[in-house]
Amino acid sequence: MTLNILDLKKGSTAKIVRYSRENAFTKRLCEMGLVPGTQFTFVRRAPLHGPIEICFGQSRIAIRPCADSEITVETCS
Amino acid sequence: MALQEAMTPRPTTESTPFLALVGTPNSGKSTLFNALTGLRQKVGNFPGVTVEPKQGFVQRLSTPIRIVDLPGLYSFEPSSRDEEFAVAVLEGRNRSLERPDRVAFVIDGTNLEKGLTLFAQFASLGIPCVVVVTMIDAIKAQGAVLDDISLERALGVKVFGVVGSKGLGVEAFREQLERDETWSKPNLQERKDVLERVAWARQTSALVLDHHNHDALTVRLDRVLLHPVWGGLSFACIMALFFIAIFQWADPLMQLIQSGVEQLRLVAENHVQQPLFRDFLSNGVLAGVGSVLVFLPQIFILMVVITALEDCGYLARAAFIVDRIMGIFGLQGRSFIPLLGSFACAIPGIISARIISSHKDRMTTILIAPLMTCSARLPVYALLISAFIPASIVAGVVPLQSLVMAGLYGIGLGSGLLVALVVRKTVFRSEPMHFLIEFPPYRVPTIRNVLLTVWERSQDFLKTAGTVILGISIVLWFLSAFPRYPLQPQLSSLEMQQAQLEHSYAGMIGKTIQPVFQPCGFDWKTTVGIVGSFAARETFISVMAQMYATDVSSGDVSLQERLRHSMSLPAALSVLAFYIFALQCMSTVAVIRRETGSWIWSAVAFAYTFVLAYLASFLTFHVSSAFL
Repeated sequence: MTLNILDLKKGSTAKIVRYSRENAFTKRLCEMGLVPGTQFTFVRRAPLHGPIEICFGQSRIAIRPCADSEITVETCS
Repeated sequence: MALQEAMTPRPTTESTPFLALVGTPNSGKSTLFNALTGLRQKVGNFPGVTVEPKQGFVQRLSTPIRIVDLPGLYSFEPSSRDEEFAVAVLEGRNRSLERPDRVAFVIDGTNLEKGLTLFAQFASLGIPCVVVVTMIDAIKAQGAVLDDISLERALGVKVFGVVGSKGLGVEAFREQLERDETWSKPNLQERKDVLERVAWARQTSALVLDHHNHDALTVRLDRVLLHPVWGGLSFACIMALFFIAIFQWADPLMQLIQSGVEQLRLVAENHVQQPLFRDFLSNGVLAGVGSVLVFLPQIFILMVVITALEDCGYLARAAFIVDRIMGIFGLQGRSFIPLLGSFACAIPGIISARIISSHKDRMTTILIAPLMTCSARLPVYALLISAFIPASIVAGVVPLQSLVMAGLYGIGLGSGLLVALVVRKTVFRSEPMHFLIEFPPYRVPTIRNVLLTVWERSQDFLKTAGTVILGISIVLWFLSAFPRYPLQPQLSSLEMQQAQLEHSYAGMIGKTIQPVFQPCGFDWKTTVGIVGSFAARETFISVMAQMYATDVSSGDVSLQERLRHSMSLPAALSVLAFYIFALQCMSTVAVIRRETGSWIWSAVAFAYTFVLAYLASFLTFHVSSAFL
């Protein structure tokens, strides 16, 4: 089942399916190792619907995607 | 003296090898740089570029090797000015810094994959290099083993393992630096696509490192520090500690410096015979030096706290916590750090805005930083509040004077955020930018690193602020000391000072432009105070003391008395309102110029804050005249 990364539940594991577009932000995510197919864990969300923290491999990053770069993910069981 | 010698680089020749440290942010480059160079380093000054990479010489070698610590980068398609600079240097496109002959490519041992992804791109430049894997103690602590022989084979270059913070492996690395056979070009096929690079990095990382875990301490600490409730509370506590450190701990040191400068002035006044030269030394040079030095303790403490918070990994988390709130005003999480620093002094605050990669976010942050209530405003606020605000208690508990003081801080912060909002809706209009920050694992900051960073920043402050303030202070002295007023035997020395100031160029300027400030309720004496503190806010007090012929060093009480008699309450409130906004600080103007690369932004900051200050005083004066 695919969904937007922001709709994931805390603690769930998912895989990047695609980025809605290629821009500086999504390019940077790929360069940091978050390429499509990468499995990651949705760790937490900052208060007041702020950025989200995810971890993959040995990296932990906080991101707040804006409306123009939607990240589609697929939950892993 | 010994320090001075250590800071001077050895003479270089054409043949001096030039080594660059390259790696991702947080890879441990700077720690390695500090371990290799010690104090033998200096911050380069590159005209027109805001980035200042650290340069130095590797110590304890028979032939000197020049070394530069290039800003960390994630890819060769740069997204911030720091990255752009690093890429330009490595590609030989930078005009001020030549292409390095050799590179030590630094990889964080606890995140090999990330470092290797960048290495795959770096390899195609064909610069002779070695790979330094840092923090190998953390790998061992996780029970993993790094197979460095396989890694050397996979990359085609030598691999060194170090623990920069403890100096482990640094000596072995240093010994190999001079040998030509140490360096080789990477033997990797070119991978143009990022997907290929990441796949290769993952594969290689799995090949050379048997397993890896997430740092357990980081996971546990984050559970508290980023918790919706405890995280917010810890954040508030850390901020409280921050302000206590700046205002309480710095105070004794500031007093010490102040009294030291006072002593020097006394020495000058007692030992220099020629009256004009004596006045120049005491009120021009030493007063100027003093007004720079007095802020050094606060800047020092501020830098220690910020550097320690950054090195231990908390700052990135703080940015994460406040991002949403800053977003309301068109700023982002990263803007928080420079603005926080600006409460002590806008200068280090503006410098630290470099961590913001988005140009528009960074410029907005720099523009509003001067509206945060810096410590130079405190003495002015304190004087006027104690003179005009009754020491009564509001609602049974809150002292009115403290309430007014807190209000002044609040108005500064609030108006800064509103200006940010306006700027983002007009000049720097753009869609909300995404936010992306990496959380490094928590580490105990090393004292050596923190102190080296702070030492370098303090020097930077003294150079930038020192030269400007000293220069302006001398100009102001000249304006208030000339033309000389003839000696009147019947006047006391304080009255003589007053007469001198009144008839000086500064006095004339004050009287000439007083009509401009008439609508704000300033008389000509206040106007001279405002003009006189044009370069540094805190000089307002000494100028006013001269205007009212009181001796500041005997305590401010007499000045407060005189002010109360000669100034109306609306006029005093109007002066307070003026100081909330006005950019009466030439060092800040100079730093804005340096950090934005253009005098235009300095002028913009000065102009808009002046307009706000003028309007605020005007409104305050008229509204309070109507009601009080």
